[in-house]
Amino acid sequence: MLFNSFEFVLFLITVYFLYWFVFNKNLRIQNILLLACSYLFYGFWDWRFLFLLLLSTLIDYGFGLLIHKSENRKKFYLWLSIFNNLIVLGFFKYYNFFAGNAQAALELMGFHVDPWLLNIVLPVGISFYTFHGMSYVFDIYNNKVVPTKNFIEYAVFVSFFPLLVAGPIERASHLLPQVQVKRKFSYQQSVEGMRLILWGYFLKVVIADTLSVFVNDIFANYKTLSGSTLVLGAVYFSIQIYGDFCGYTNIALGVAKLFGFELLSNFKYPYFSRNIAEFWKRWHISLSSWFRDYLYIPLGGSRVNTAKVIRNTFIIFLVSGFWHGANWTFIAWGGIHALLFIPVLLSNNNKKYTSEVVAANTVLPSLKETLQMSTTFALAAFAWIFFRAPDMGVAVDYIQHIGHGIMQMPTKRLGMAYVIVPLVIDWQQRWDERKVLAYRSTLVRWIMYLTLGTFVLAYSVYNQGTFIYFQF
Amino acid sequence: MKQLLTRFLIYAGIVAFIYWGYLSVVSHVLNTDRLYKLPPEKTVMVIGDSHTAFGIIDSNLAHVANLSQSADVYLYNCLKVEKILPLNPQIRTVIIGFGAHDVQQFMADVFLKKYEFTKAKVQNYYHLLSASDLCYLLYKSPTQVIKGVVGLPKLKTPYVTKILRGKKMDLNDELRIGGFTFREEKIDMKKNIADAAKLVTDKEDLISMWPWQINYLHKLVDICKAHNVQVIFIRMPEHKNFPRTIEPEFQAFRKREFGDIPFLDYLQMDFPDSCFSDMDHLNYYGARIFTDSFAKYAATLQ
Repeated sequence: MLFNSFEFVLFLITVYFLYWFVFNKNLRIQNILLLACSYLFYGFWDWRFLFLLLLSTLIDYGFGLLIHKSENRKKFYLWLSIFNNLIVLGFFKYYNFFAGNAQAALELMGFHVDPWLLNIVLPVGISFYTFHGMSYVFDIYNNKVVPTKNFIEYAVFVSFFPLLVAGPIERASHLLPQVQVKRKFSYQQSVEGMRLILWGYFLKVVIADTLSVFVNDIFANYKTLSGSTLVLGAVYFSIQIYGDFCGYTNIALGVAKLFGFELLSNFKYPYFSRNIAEFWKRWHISLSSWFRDYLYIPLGGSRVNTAKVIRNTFIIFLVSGFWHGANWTFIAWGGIHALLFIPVLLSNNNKKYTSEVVAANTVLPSLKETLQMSTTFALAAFAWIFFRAPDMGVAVDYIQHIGHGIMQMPTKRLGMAYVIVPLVIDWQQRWDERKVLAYRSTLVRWIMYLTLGTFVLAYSVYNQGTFIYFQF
Repeated sequence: MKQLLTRFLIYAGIVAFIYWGYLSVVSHVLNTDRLYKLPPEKTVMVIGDSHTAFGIIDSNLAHVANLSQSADVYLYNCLKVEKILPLNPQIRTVIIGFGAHDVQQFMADVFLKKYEFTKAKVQNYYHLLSASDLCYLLYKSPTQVIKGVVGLPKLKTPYVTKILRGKKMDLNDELRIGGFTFREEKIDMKKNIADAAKLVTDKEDLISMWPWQINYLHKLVDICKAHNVQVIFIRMPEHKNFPRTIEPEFQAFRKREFGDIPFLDYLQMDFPDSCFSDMDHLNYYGARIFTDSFAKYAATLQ
């Protein structure tokens, strides 16, 4: 069931009414309802994988209790839990990649092997719920969280339907306490939730799905198009993936708010970043902070010698790329970001723009800030070419073709409207990613509500593409 | 909670009102009379579904306008004729595509429920549809009608702006009212024989007639007669291997219900396989041969 489907709208309305009007007296029953609805939501895609979700949940729940109780075998249980999670993830997501690459490597050495490639269906959201479970176990091991004995509560934490298939990747310390206490209806929270949902749908249905038509066309015919059009293709994809994923996240955050939950932020207007380090503090925050806390810092982070800092940085970016999918293009995307990040890190500029938004006290950015943002956007867009291309050959070829006819007037210019509109609206609300469309003037607010709502309705029939991050 | 729900309902109501308002504007603009005026030399109008749409190249026939369209049931043909005849008094003859498949009950599912035909038709004919017709379609295929109506503004806005600027519109490509449809592909005999074989499994299903469709065919004939326009039925060629299991029943039905309407029957006109795109549709090569042959008859209608 996709967020941008008619079924989901009906599902959401039904669950909302059951949640607040029928099962609102008892926390336990309310949690059972959330769990049942989350499994129903997931089962709409493929009910067989509910067993995998349940198994993954049971394993991490069990290991959480074991690690907490154990005095001297904590580490052993932790590694067993990691092993279990990675086996599941590895089998469904990476088996064919490793088998195929091993075959290619052996053939280079003169050995012919016929690996047993499997026709594996990638379970939707596996990377997300596996990471949920792993963070829970890590936090128990590090004494940051006390495991819950209530399986229903833990299962709701893992499978809460707004975040089940594409995050944000929650932390037990943040979400689990919210599952354990009775939620109270808040008008303000609900209004904020509805605004997030509206803005999310606009980003997804109107912006991302429309740009996807341009992007698919440009990437399919890049050999026949001018270099300037290929540049537009990279720009369009940058906004498409932002609209798609940030749109999804906004809907998830908004839906969670309707049920009285606050989820972690995942995007803080990343294209208004002044360097690549700031970009990574604003893009897919829940994943990058996950890797920071559970991989980068245990490896020593930046408190080791320079060579190790570089190694650690490469590791997290390459793993992050690989997390997105079993394809060298994702690894290359991660590698490019590592190469862009390391100079910023080594020059101690990685924490330069962490505290404030760009042009915090002015309407427009300064020339310097504009140049900084444009450069960061251009670098990110360049890396996105690898992310979007089906394979490395196409990515490299695409970049080479940019040189041909770069000065020509680009075609497919109409898509620029779908780039400018979200950036202008985002610019006006860049101070707080959780308070979108919160204009002070009631008139302006309602004009925005009505305009966005009408556009979403008009585009909804044509644009019902799946979310890019569902494949991860 | 009450305040939230009230405000949300007000919001949804206003969005729906804006939408409905815009739909009304779109509908009004698409109803502009000048768009439906045919050239004065066009005295014969052909209507029907894919059979006539693929088979008659009206650009080769000076006085014939082919306004047929794939999956056009007689309801849509009625709407077209009701709109076009009063604006084009030069039309003296209406030729209506008519074959067994047009009146068989099992085709109701094909035309109204499958392949998103209804969604496309609602978008093509929304401005001509009456509320009762729309309700009937909504009852038969709710999702497609909702999708069709909701999707209309985005689909039609470019054409609306073009109409408002006084530009000429193409009845087929832009207004989607109908016209000759180019089909180049050639028949895959193996696949089509297998598909055709599936159609003859249950004869009871095949001989069951479709009253809704027949009713609109009667209405169509009546509209033409009310405008003193001659009505002729035409049955297009089909591949010789296409099953004709209900031919006697169809002929009996035709004579009983429409015995006074001239019937041009090209069903068994001989064509090689290369002239068909499937068992019962001519492709462009077939259409060229057929149009040459049909031209001789059409000339007598001037």
